[in-house]
Amino acid sequence: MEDRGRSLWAALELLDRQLLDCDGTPVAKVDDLEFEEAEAEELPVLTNILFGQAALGRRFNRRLGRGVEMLRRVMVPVAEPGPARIPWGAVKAIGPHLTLSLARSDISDATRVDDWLTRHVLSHIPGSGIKPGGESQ
Amino acid sequence: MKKALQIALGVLTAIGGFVDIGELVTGSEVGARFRMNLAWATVLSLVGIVLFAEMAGRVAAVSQRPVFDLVRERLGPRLAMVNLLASLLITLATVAAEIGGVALALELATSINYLAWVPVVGLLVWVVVWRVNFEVMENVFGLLGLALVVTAVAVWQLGPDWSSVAHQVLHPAKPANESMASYFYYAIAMFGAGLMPYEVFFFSSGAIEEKWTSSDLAVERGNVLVGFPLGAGVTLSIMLGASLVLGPQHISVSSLYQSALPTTVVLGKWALIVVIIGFFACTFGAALETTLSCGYSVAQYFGWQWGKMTKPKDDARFHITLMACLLAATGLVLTTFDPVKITEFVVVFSAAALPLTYLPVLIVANDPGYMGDKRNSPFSNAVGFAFLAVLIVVSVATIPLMIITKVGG
Amino acid sequence: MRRVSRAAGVLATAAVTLLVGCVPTARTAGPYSAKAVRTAEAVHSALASDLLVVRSLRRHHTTAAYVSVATSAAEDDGSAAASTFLAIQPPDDQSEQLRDELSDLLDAAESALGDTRIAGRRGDRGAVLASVDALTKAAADLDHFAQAHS
Repeated sequence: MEDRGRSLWAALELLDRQLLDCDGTPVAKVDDLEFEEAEAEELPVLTNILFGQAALGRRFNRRLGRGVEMLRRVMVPVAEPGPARIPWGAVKAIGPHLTLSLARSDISDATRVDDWLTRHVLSHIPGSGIKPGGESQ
Repeated sequence: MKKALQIALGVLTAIGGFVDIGELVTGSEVGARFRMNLAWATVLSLVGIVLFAEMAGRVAAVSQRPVFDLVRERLGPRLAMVNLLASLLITLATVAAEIGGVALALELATSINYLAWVPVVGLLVWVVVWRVNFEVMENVFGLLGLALVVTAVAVWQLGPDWSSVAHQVLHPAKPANESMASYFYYAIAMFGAGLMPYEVFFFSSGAIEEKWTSSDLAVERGNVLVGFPLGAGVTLSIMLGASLVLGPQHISVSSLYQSALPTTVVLGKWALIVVIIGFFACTFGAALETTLSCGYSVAQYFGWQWGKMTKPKDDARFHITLMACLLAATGLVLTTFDPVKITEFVVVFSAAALPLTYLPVLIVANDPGYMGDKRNSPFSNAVGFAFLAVLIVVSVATIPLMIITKVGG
Repeated sequence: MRRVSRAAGVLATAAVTLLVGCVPTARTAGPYSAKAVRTAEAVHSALASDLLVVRSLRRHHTTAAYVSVATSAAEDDGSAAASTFLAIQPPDDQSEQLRDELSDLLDAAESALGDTRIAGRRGDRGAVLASVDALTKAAADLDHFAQAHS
């Protein structure tokens, strides 16, 4: 990470920020943060950024979050339990928004809903420039 | 030369941005009932929209992020969700009112019942939102909206007693036959009509769609400082026309045809056709802007990719949201709930939600992280916060007045 | 969350109060008389709007489509106001007398508005212009009524 040694208040400067990919394309918001317990008297370690409806749902209400998580498991059976994640190591720069070193197309959790909608809904609408099956014309 | 053209076009679209079904209907009603004694409410809303649109546009041009995008990180997800839901509900109802307005304008032109037009209009709005280039869309409807200037021609032709008009504008008084509650209720309605939530969020996102940057701040300010006042001018000429033609006959406006009466009576067939084109353009333009505004606010709250400038396959959720909103709004109009009545509710509820809409703009425009040295000057903040106080007073007074006057009475 | 639900509660209360306020009632003579006057004014407004349409038509200032829509809308506005009022139960004898008086005027008004609408929808310019007398008289009568009982 570029800004070593800078201390931040995670809730203030990381939560609810926009995540941009390496090209500046919006990916998601930082809906929640995941920490790992550390040694005694040490601060917990920030491991992952959580995003998506499951993560946001959990911040509003734990039961709602669990409900949405279950929905996610139904749609993506191979996914790990819990909400969609991006490892903290993928964050390239911290500023008014967080820039990732990945491209949006590499983050399957971010593009999944858009891809599904493109393939199954938008492709059937004339003028979208998308062939049924999801490829551009 | 290109910059001059850009300013010109932006100005024209800002006229349309200010004038929509709210001004057509409420402006005529207020002019007929209160003459020009509520012109101050329109002028006050003009001050507000100029102030906040300039801020919203500046935020977008400098930070390259539209205002609503930044609301969630400034207010937190819960408060931002309340904000989103409130603006979304009002804006959805506004889409319905505008679609109804377009259908009513088409009815005036063809005598085919407006309900038959509603699905056609809904589909047309979607086609434009789906396929037409953003700038082309803005320019075409902005230019067509200029047709409303014919209402000013009608006023000029009527040759009113300008000193009496000036007196009512500068020294407003409640007419003897109206209650104080009604007077302030309609003041709030007129005020709310000029400051609807979608205007600022659309202007901000639109700035990104048009790819404005810090170097376009002059263009942005030109749009705001010239365009919106012209829009207010059109509103005031609608009000004055109504006060001169409808007022003396004690006519109360409840249908769109009455808004066209002053122009028709005074100027004739071609003016009637022009004013109906104007009605069509400003309501259709507003239908586009409100629909897009719904999509922008939802996508920007959740952090999705958004925008007409983006290929549909990359912002599918944004486009699906637009379609869902259009369907819901079209459905609302098809319930045969009178579009004019929907409009009356929408302008008043907009007034009630004003602080929710404008506080985020003020907060974001002051953020040094996003704005750098282009953040609000102390003067802008002083005026901005003073205005916010006015908005809070208006917001608090709205529902009680609505109940006391039985929605206008 | 609690603040949101409290706000929702306030909004709900306001909505209910609004709806209750919209139900037509008039338990004493005062409000009934005021409603009568307001109805007279509303129907007068529809008649006056029709008269302006007629004036425009005389000057050849309108299109047939506009006249058709305007005269229909005017009749709809007038009938809506009239039927809302006539549906209210008069609270006492004095009010019943008022109702009878207004009811005759409303009949004349609706008849005039209806004739104008029929002519307007048919595109019959002559018939629309001819309705001016009936419209003017109905409007004048309602105006006198409103003045007398304000």
